[in-house]
Amino acid sequence: MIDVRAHIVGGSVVKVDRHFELGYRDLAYKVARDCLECSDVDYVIVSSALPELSAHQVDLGTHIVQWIGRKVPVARVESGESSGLAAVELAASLVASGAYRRVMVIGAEKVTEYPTYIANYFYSLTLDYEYEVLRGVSPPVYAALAMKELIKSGVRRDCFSNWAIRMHENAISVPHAMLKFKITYESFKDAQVLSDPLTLYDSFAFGDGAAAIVVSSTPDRNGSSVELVLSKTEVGLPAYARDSISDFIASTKLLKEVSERFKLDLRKTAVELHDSYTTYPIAILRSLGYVDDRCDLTEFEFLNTSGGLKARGHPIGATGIYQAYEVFKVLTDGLGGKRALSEYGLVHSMSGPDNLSRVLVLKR
Amino acid sequence: MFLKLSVPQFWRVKENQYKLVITVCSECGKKTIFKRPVCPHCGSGKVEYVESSGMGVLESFTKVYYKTNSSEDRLPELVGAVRLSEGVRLIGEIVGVREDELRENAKVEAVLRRYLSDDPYGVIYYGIKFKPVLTH
Amino acid sequence: MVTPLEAGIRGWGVYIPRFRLSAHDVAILWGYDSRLPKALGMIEKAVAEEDEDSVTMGWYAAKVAIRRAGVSSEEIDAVFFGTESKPYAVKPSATIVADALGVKKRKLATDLEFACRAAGEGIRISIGLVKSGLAQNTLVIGSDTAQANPGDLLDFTASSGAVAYVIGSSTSSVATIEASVTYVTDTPDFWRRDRSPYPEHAEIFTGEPAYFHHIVSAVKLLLEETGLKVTDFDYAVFHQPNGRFPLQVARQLGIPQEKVAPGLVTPYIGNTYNASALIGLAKVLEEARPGSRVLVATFGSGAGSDAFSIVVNEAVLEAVNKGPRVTDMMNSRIQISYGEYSKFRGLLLRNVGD
Repeated sequence: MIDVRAHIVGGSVVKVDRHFELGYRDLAYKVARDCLECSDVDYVIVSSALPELSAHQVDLGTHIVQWIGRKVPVARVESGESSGLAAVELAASLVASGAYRRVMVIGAEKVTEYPTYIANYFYSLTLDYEYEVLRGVSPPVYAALAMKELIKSGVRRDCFSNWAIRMHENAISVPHAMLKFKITYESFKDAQVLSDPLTLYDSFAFGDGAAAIVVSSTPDRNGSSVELVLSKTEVGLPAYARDSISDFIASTKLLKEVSERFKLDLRKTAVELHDSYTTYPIAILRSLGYVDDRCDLTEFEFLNTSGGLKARGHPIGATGIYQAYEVFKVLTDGLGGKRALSEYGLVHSMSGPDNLSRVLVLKR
Repeated sequence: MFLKLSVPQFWRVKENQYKLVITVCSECGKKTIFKRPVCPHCGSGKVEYVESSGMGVLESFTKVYYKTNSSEDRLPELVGAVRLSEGVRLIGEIVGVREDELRENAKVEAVLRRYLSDDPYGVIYYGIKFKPVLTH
Repeated sequence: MVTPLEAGIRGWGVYIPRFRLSAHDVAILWGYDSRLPKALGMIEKAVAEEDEDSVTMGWYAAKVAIRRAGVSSEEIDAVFFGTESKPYAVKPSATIVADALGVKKRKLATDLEFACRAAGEGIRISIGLVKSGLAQNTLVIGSDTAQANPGDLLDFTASSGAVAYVIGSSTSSVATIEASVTYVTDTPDFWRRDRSPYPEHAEIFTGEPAYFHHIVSAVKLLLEETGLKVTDFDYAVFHQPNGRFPLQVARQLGIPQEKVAPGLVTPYIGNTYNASALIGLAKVLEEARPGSRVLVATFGSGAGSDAFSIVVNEAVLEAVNKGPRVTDMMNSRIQISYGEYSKFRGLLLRNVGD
């Protein structure tokens, strides 16, 4: 846990998409070039989960800094789906310690180098290879079994669909989102089943992406920066070892603690929740007491303004950087036409189904 | 399989694949599936191991269409949460049954099946799946 | 070779996959006369799923056999795996099953091949090990996912199944092996070359010079050496490549059909090769009254036959309900199409491996 004095002073993102024309280095170059604040940094952290598998590239960090011409110290951080927030936490601690002044954190991921079933295989490897993957347990299985548990306890199926519908609505006005079209409850009827009752429409959009943010020891003189006030992580139990698979103890604990500490009402706060599958944010909001079995989300003003992992997309190792950038934007210039008036912003990221949970608190 | 299967990796974890070993924590009393050095609930290293009888009850299951292998010839798979008679829960594939026959709360037993094989020349991984118990 | 009362069956186990392919469907697809299945005495055959093989089936049968025997896997001194459908041409199946069952490291273990009678030979070897004191108990497994060239006559019968026996001292057995003999010649009636996915056979030559000659010869030797007559037997279980041959060989030996019927399972589950005669024996053990004498004759192409005289003991009654019975497994069926059969058994030409 870090109580830091560190600031996000800028950044840029690439549209999450099937970028067959861009590899890891090209994505990193693009996002670093488009980020004005990135020109003056003394450290680079690369957040990426799949380069060894997707691109047969070890030590991606070194190869990126050579390619983009920034001969500064570099390290690659990986923590599966929550790599991004792990990277931001380390960047913050580097500047808070005084060791460095400005850190460029680049999240980059390629998932389209191989056919979808192989990208699915790579994603599955975020679970325990020896005791989950080999045994036929893939990520959608947990999302499906957890959804079944929640439905059994009274949550309506429409509740999960509602989340996805809201995400798609949000994404329409977000330039860098992967999926920018409306969906309705009807869309779910014919939707391809991943693992029943989970459908393709309940699952994140899978695309390549890159996002960069600059973490600085000092705020931007022009005022367009946010302070990183807290970064906290909680390690959870493997899903199979829990009493209920839908019990996201780590995420709930973190979000509760952080809400209490900063007196946050998630309905008014700029928040990005990790919605890899529609099951997860519903499970979390429910255990926090924000939604009942009907799951009315209308009171949430700045919930996943980006469209979330569902519609903005989930380029695995880069996602956390996108999320941090998006909350930074919502609190400053605005994102997709929305500006949050709240003092705080919150980013939530998970590794798998709450194997590990991370939370980042930003302050205007 | 995207990459070739490793021989030593599987050989090393064979005990947890060929059998169902339960870790029992002497400190907090909780039981977790698979042999491990430390209790994942309380962090204590005071653990003991018990081999499961392999008998259990199917708590819930899902039909999986998610493809992670080009030679996948077992889609859709039935994957479920099984509560072993020793009280521990694990997730596993359900075999030897048609989806329309399978019911929650069905009694199941652990069976050895093929997990993966590096066809046509590579190694075969075997492991535990679950089959509904024959009613007679 | 008359053996004094020293070796017996301590436990048995069977595994029959649930899926069934009807002989009628095979006939229709491949353009056979629809009356052919009846001539072969075939109704349907058992088919293993994609994730099953000889090892997985043999494991199940062995687990049940050990449970019925009431021994711990620590007390098993040898594991013999009789099969002609090994997952690895080189790498023993016996060790995988032994490891998965927790059999101790100090043991004999090997895979045996002699077409359909390898498991029979495993039992014969076990008798010697037990008698000599070299083994307290042995585990003999017969397991096959039998292959057939699609459309060949064998497609009607080649099926999947497994059986296992724990052989030990006759004093702690459910059935005593009071005598046994093996008769072997070099007779190439049926074979599978090293790289061939399917076996070949010499059709009618597999009958009289092979199946019938070897079984009759072995049984006759058994009767000579023991002084027993066919009328001394309450049951006769033969290797059953189809539903007709066992009845024909019984006629040749002067054994009435009623004594063969209880052990005749092939019409319903197909020819499980190494498990063929021995699943028939298991079914008889589950039905026979203590004191019954059972004649068992295996047959393996190439060719050879083992003949056994087995006497059922009181202890069998308690052991029957310690595991799933042959009849229960025969009745637990899911009918599949030829298409599913092809998919399950990998008969469709595909690019495999990523």
